[in-house]
Amino acid sequence: MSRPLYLFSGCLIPTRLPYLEASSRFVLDNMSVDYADLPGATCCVEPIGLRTMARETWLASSARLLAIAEEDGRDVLTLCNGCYMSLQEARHVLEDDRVRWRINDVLGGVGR
Amino acid sequence: MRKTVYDRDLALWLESVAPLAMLCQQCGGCAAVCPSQRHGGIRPAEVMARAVSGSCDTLLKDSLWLCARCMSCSERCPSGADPGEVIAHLRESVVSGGEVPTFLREEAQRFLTTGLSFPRTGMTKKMRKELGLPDGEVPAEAVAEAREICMRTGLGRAVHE
Repeated sequence: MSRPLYLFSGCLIPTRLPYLEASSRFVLDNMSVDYADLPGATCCVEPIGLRTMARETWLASSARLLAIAEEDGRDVLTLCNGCYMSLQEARHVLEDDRVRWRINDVLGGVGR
Repeated sequence: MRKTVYDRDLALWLESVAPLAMLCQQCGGCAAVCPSQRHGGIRPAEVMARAVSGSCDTLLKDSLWLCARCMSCSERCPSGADPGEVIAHLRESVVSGGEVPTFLREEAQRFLTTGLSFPRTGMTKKMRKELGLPDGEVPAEAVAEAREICMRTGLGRAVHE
């Protein structure tokens, strides 16, 4: 496993289930996977509750995380299935050119 | 007695965002696999029946938040009606109608101030210290960026209302 990864542990695992994070790091270290924490990672805006309040915010902040990873050309490894759902669905939604243009506009405003 | 409200706008809106919901044939497959229903939570088959006919009552609005979005129902559904997505759409319609549950408002507030949706409690810090993990606080620049995104999109407005 030589491809460098970004580890994105989300917000539920670091706050409520830190032992999952510890064991994942232990496994990754022992498998000598080249990984680093995703720099500037916030919550992905969890897709279960918060997304229903503002879909656009969810899309923009998931896109921000994807943009950070894309900048360094690394794949993202999520520990939480909610984060996976967020990023995967965001990637799918962003295949639409119009949506991508609008989200890029928002991200451009915050310097991404 | 349960009060059922027929909402024609809701039915039409749902038909536009989730047209496949109309394929539901009330087989009850979703009800059989739903882990929430087993513990007296949401009843996906009932949600589907009510959603398709546009009747959404107050009792349903409360139980709507008991879905964990495991999507077992959508996986099980033989007609591809996707009950999980229908529930998500119904939640969106409830929230955009102004009935935001307290916990969701708190969560949004937390995301704006700390960049995380879940609170970092004393227990979190203790456990992380014991496991030898870093403190796990989101850097201030990242929080500022997240807040800026919220302000530029919908969440900032929703919180300050």
